[in-house]
Amino acid sequence: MTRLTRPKVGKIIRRVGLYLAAILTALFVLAPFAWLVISSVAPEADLLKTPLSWWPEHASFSRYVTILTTTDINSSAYTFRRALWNSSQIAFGTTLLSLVVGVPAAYALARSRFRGRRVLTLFFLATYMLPAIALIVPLYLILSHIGLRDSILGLVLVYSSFVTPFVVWIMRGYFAAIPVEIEEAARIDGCSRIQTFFRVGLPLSLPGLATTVIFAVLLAWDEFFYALILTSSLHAKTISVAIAEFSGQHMIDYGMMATGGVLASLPPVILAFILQRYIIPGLAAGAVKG
Amino acid sequence: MTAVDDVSLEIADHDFVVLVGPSGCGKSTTLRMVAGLEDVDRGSIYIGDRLVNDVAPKDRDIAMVFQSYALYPHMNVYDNMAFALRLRRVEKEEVDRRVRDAAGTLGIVDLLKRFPKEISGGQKQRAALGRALVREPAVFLMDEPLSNLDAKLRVQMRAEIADLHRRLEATVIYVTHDQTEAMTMGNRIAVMKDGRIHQAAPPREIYDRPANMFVAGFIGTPPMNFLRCRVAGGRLRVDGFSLAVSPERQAALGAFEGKEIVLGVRPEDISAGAGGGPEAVVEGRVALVELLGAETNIHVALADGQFLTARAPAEAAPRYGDKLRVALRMGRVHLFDPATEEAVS
Repeated sequence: MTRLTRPKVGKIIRRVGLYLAAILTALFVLAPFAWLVISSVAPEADLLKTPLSWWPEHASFSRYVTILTTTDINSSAYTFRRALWNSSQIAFGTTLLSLVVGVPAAYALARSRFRGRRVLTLFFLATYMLPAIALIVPLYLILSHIGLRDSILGLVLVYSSFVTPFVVWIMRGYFAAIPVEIEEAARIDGCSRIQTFFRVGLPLSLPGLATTVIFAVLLAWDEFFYALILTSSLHAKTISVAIAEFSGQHMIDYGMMATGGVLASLPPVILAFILQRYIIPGLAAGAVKG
Repeated sequence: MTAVDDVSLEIADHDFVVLVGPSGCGKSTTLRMVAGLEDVDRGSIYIGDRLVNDVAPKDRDIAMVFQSYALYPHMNVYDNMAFALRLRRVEKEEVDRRVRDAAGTLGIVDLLKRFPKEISGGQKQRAALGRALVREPAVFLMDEPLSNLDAKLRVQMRAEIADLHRRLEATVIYVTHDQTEAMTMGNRIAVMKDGRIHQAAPPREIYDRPANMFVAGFIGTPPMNFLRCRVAGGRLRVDGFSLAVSPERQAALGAFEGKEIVLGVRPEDISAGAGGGPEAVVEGRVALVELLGAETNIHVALADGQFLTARAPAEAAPRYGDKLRVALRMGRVHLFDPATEEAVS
């Protein structure tokens, strides 16, 4: 049996320490969510007991069933389901619009040489400097004027205004990272500029697209302030507003809130799981020397 | 300040024209203008009888091989080579035939299913060549395709490309900074510097009759020696020695009587040790000896501070600091005007 030399011991300690830190961090991050899931399936009484019981004796998914199937329009469960659907539409619409507008814009900014290109790029960044508070009143007035207040489309337009620059910013970086020679080769092989964009530019920036989609969906999904002010009825109320409204009503239904919270977090998480395998690092590496 | 300034060149069918010169001389820019990847501010480019200044790269009937290979990373080698043909809607069988033919010629049939990141540099370069081959274009444009390969591979690929050119009877414009590639591969060389073509001629002519000091010093390795001499009494005086040129040159010297002139002599035209007539010898001290195996380069320092490199047989082994007499083959020297750097006929 060989004696453990000093460096080996140090290495083991570092390893253990690293894993410990990782586990603790994971626990710290996942614990609230875990509690959320547990609360959603625990009976009412368990949630109000003191001291709290960590593990329910009779878990039931009845709340989920209620939210997903209730036909009582006045119930908070229905409100919640409706809000879930609204948020989905808004996130989808926003992402779609932002991609359609932002990705070609990013490509143009990355590839074309034109006057004012630098300034334009910086303008996109500058829009983030404006806080929502500064814009909310004019936005409210504008949307009211064109009759889009409290509507899905209205919110999609407003959200796109801050998601599109984000898309442009990220995708511009990915397009710029594609070696120019590859696109030049495509142009010589027979691609017009548009064909080069679709056949070479887009496929090679797929990791960027996947990342952008995830973040765009998250941005739209999590947004609270604009949704709160610009919606009033179930027509367009989003999930973030609906959850906030759960508290401050006549009674606080922790169980329902927890269920709502789990359901609200599922779509982005599922999307991230689906898209994560497209975020392949170094896709273009190896095709071009150096 | 222009990258390319007043470049005019005529390239015949089946020519292998090499644009060679130091970095920044404008050779790549010129090639890219032919390809349509750079805008032309003034002048015209004709491919065949067609003026192509405003024609898109894809419609110029050209194929290009890049220094960095520029393969499509998201496609395998087969798809890389088939890409251009599929874009033009060539039938599947024809595409397959052409791709397999080219792959066979280049020896990469086994690699057709692999992706660029899975193959080596040399294989990538062949794939890039294959991509150009299947196009059967009017002109092949190659932008330093061998610069990123290791020395051994480069020598091999040089021969293969030259062989391909012969077999396909293709027209090739080849850009390189390596004068060895230029000399061995092209049937015409255009030596460029600072955006201008200094001389365009077959390799032999460039080597034997360089038009100016830049071309003379750029082509040939080790580079040509330049000695500043004074013309006095029809003779060249350098470092206390007197050199006589051949009778045909005597007349040209007349214009430089009493003035300075530059004598250019290649290392292989200098022999170390004895030999040479009385007016074809200089003497100096050995400053450096380079053993190359097959031959030896001897650097000789003259008393006036100038240097000469002589190519000697492998057995020659002078020692550092030794005095050494070297004989110059005066029949093969070149004369240059010091002010214009042009060759004096």
